[in-house]
Amino acid sequence: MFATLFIVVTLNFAIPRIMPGDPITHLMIDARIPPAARDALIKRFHMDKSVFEQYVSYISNLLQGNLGLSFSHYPRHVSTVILERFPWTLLLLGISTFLSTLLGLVLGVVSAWRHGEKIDISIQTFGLALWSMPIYWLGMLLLYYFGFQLGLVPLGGATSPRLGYPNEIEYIKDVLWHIALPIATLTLGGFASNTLIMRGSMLEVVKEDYIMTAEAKGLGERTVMWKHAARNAMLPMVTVVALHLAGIVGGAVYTETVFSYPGVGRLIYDAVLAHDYPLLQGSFLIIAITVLMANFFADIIYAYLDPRIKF
Amino acid sequence: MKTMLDRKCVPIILGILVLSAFTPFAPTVEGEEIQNGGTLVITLYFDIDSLNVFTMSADPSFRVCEKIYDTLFIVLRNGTYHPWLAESWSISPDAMTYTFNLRHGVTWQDGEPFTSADVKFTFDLAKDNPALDNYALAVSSLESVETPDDYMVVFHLKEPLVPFLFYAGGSCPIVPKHIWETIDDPATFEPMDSPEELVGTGPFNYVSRKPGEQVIVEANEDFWGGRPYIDAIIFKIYTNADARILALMKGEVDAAGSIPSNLIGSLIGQKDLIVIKRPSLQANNWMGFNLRVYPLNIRQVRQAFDYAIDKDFIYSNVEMSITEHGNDGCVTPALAEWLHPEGPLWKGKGMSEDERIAASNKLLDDLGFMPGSDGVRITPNGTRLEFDLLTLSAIPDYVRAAEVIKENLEPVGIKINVRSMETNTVINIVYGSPVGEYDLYIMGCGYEADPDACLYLEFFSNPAIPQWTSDAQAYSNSTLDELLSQQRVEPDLQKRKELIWNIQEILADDLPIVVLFHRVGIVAHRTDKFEGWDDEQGIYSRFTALNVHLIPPPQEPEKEIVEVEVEKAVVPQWVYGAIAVAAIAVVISLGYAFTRK
Repeated sequence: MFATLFIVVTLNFAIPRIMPGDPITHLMIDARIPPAARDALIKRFHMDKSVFEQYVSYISNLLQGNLGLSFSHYPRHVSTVILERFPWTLLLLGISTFLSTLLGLVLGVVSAWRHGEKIDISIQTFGLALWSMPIYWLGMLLLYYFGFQLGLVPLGGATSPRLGYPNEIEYIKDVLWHIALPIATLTLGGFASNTLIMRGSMLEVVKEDYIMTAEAKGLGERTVMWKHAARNAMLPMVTVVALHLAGIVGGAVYTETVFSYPGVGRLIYDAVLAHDYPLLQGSFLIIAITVLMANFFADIIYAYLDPRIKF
Repeated sequence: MKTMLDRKCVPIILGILVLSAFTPFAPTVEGEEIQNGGTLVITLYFDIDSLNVFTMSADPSFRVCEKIYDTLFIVLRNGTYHPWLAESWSISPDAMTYTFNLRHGVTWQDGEPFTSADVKFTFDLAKDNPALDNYALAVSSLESVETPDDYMVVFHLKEPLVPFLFYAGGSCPIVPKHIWETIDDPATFEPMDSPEELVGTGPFNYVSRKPGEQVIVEANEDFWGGRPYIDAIIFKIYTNADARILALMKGEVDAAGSIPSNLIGSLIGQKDLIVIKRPSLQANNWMGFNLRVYPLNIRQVRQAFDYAIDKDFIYSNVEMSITEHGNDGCVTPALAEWLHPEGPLWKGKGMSEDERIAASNKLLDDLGFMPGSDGVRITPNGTRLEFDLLTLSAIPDYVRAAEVIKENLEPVGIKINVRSMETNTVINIVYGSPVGEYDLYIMGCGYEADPDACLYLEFFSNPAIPQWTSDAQAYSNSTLDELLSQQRVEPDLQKRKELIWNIQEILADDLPIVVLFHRVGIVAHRTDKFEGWDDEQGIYSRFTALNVHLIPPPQEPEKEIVEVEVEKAVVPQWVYGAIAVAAIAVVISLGYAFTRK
């Protein structure tokens, strides 16, 4: 795992620098960068040092837990910039991943149990239709209809433009009011993939002998479906959820942009445009660590769920 | 009345007001006392990056900071200077000494008095710390700052440089000495993280910020020019342009900026909304020639291009009349103070299409470039007049303009191959390589509002400034260099203006670049809640922030409302229908399937 981490750290350093252009060229089109200031910027971003020197200072900073100063949010620390956005992404992606997993799971089970029947076909059709929609288009449609035409939800942001809140409850209400549509978008656009995996896994499981045994001993349909079949079919979902965890940390660029949501995805996207190397390195590192950790825990949960697996 | 949404006839209200008619302190309602109150909500298209005035670089940061910090004077949108912290200023005849007389009775937001020591401190700080790069242009030629008394600041320069007045007075916010002198490293200081140290002399105090969401400033009760009428401004970030406009239409925000031109159609004609072409700072969009390439190094050839390119068509059909006409003199028409008295310069101005084509053909005929069998002209030494035109695929109007240019040049026997590329690639080809390997390119850039910022950087060639136009195109013109140097040392405003006009004439004749158009900003604001908008200076200006106030509730019920029938064309009605049908279908099919067993 440490070898993986080291490779990840090195790649994080290399990939942003392989992109065509550099942070200074990006700023050059900006009106406010005259040649005199350009030299100051090159020095400030340590672009005058060799790549090797930059790499060494990056690693030594990292060992001290320092992610460096962001270029595009200069002079703020990368960790501060990411942490400011992190709670919102965690909230948005956490809830919507949970909902889309739950919805995917339930619909997948139902779909497989009623294999080939109308409900299976309707779930598949509408799930796939939503899944194949570009998420920003789905978001725009929802925003236009529910936000503008019906006026049920606000048109963007995570909170209202107001000076203060009388109490905590008002604040929480405001946050929920703002997050409803982004969550709906991510959930609707994302559940179908879970449904397909769950359905496929269920179809394997229902052929097993123990399902027939369970049915034969006269257990109710619901019990067999949920307790015997769904539980055993759930194993692949653990991997899927572990993979989704990267998304929870990495944010959702399109959805965050459409709803002007202050999440990490939008931050990373802007950092790519601005060639903000330290911010990119920092956020990729956090995503990589989360994925590694998630996989690690997924393996442990596997062993718990499936006693046949031993480490 | 039916509002046509044809984009060709979009009626944009140009904030053409008489400039002297406004001052931030003039009462706008006769005889009536204006009530304080209200919170103005304005959009930002992007989050602020920092509120450190010395190092911040995001455009929204500047908009927020100018509410908190003051400059010595304000550069108005047409290029003139409006007294602010300084009541008057003068330039010595040798253009080496600049004296500012400061306003009396100004206090910092924490109650400390503002004096000349603060001004001296600000510039000394920037001078001693090269990392404070926002002030680089002002301090690069600065020798020393003197403060004869508390209300007078004298700047001494190393060499004469008249644009110093603009850079020092108009673009450098003054920071409080008593706070910044205690800061260890001003380059890495972030005032947002310690708001008690975020102190200016401006009309608004910083309150709070939610990253990626909003920034709040509130009225400074003790502002030297009198408290603003509104209580606070909330800068609300909408990253999605469509949502920004919907929020404005719905009234969630009072004003919106950075409106893409293709979305104007949905705002025009809406009730209680005004759309304004915001006179922009200098912003040029041009086609450049590589003078290393024969025969583009011949002036007559470039002139033939200029005649043939239909700039009127580009203005009205590519830019939908929402930019400024291209001025080959490279000064944007919005900068009226500096624009050539004849207006935007263009060889083909006032000529019919046939006349322009004839003039273009004549220039090329006279050079002895005769059309070959396929209509493309060939020079006496056998070079075909066929060129590659690089354009930025990311900017649709550059691509369209390139196609127009290609068509325009066909009848005069010049063949253009449009090459649409990624922005950084074009920048690297044009500005990056030591020997530019290209023929023609389309590019744009924004500059500070002093004409020197564009003209000198781009066109001075003795020596050319690395990575700017003269360097990139191997362009040089000694007469132009002479004038560009002269205007930098001419302390008399009128004489300097004449020099700038002269420079515009030379550029429009020598044509290192053909300016296609000058981009402007588009903003819109509501008219039902607040009044007192300064449409000339824009929704983000300090003048709007100081003047805008709640509209008092009507004394008597409104008599008559003129019905204006507005064609709602944002999304056709059938889309709602389709959505409704789809939703019903989902419900029915799911319901049917579930109840079946």
